Amino acid sequence: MHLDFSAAPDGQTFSADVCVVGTGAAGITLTTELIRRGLSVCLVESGGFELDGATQSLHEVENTGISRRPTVTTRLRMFGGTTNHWTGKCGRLDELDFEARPWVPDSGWPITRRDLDPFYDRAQPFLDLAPRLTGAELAAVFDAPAPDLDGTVASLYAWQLSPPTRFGPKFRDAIERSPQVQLLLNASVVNVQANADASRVEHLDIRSLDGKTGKVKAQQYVIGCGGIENARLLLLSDNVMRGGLGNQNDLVGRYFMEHLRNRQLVVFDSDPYTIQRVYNTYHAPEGLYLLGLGLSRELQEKEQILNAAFFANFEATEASATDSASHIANALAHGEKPADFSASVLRAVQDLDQIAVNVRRKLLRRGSRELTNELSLLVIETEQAPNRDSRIDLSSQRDLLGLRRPRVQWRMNEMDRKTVLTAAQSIAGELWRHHRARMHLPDSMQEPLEDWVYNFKDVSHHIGTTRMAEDPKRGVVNKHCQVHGTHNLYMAGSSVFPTGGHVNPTMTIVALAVRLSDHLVSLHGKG
Amino acid sequence: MRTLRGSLNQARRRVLAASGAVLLAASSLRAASSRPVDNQTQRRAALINRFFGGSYDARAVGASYLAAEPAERDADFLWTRLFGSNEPRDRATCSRLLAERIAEDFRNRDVVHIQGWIVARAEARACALVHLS
Repeated sequence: MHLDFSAAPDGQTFSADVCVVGTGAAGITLTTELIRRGLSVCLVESGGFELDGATQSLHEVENTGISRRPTVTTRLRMFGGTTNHWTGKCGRLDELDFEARPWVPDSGWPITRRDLDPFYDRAQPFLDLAPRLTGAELAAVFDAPAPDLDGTVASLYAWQLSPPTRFGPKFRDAIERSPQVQLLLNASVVNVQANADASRVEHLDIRSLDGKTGKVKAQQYVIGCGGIENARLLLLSDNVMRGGLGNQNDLVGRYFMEHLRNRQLVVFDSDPYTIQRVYNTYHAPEGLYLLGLGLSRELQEKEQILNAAFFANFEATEASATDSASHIANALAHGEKPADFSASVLRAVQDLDQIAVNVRRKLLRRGSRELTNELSLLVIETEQAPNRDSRIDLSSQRDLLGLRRPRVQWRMNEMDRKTVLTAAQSIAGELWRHHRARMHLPDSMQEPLEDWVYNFKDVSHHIGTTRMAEDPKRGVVNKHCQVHGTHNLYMAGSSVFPTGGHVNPTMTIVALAVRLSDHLVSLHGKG
Repeated sequence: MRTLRGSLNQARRRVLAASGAVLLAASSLRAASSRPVDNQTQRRAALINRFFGGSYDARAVGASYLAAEPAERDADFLWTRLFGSNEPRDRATCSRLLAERIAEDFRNRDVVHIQGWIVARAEARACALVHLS
């Protein structure tokens, strides 16, 4: 059943085995798994089934760091959360991403990739993914002409593409019909109330925009509201522990990371089809894949850089100019001058200014999407280095509930910059070697850090603000995602990631939620 | 504001210009040059131009490279760096050695950025040799 809390009587108390706050990928996954195993859940959502402006304004932040896209446009405060508009790109973190890398300060998870693999497997159906394939396997299945890459530089990397699954519509029915779930809509958590020594949470205080108040009591509480809001809620809950719950070592909100995505890398093929034949989207009956390149462990270690990956976007150009360019390029690749060289050159150059978008369709065998004779835009996505000074704390500005807004101070550092430049130069070599393709990097990408940061927009992957570590001096939560010192309080979502890898976080978020559900079920003695 | 498509088209035009949109490099080798250039340098430049298909605007790339590395403005130096000695080479050998040097430079990340394009240093040096001709 669901309850519109704003229409409920004031002062109600709701009880369940577990309280889950947030109905994004983490909260819905957790709830689904918990009720399947026989537990009752009070699921608390700040918004309703539809987006509304007043509730969405609760996502406003004060931004004092690197310029970012407005959070009110990138995070959704409604049932299903940000899965209502995500793009579906999924992948597993690499093994190296979990390791403590000596050249990356504050790296290392308290769990390994192998620990998480069974939960990645269980995450697949939540995200409606095709069976997992490595990059090499994907190329083999679709008979793509995979280049013989220098494995010390890069290897093929395959993303799995969710349709994208909208968790709200997919799971709403089952959640509403379950007698084990109380879904509270339009109920915002305003305080996590702990006991006198902060060793346990006693209840959550909830409030609606029109001033209704209530409480939620449970044996365990899980906060899954996103990387900014997760930290904010802990920081706001400071009437027992000064500085906020779980913040005894001044770590809550710190190490705020994003993924850096840059679309300015341009590749011009000598033979325009060689890149598209490999780095493309592949359609299987069970779902979609995207094939790109991931940096090798060896390169990261040798160059002391972070993880990064590349994939291609394509842009169409008018046929005749492109034909001319292809004609020239093909000839050049063989060290020959085309017979009608002058005419081809002039046509290609003169037509560029009047190029109209025209897509030429040429189907490959089953599998890859239609080929187009296009300019290749290479997208690079990189990990950010854990940076203690990149953080979320509390602003003096207040929202409609009277709560202090988050203040976002996003930072980048020299390792981030070095990673992008080194990765681009390394991949440029592989592209030249296999495709005689050339990569372009705008001059702005070589500027000093303070100006270099403007090459990037955030991609709204909010990572690291309640990071995981077994030592409470190094993390906010332990390997079970339990807040250090507060035994029945857990965090869910990408806020618990100590490092972010290059890959989109959603699949890892869902896998960790499945894993957490197993842990919570075990606390209740259920199998 | 310039659109991304416009920027990319301009970038692509520059690449095409560098990759063979202009005949100047080839034709200028045939035309009498007003600069005092020795025959050996011209012969070497002609061999390198063949690697690029005879129409690559190697001069422009080479000029940019030498503007950043003026100490390398020496044909003998460049030739030796590329091919190991001053001995004459045939076209096939030049092409093979140049390709190997370029691959090696990319492996070692010995690259330069010329008008934003990531170019192996060997290629930039080869273009510099053409420019000097």
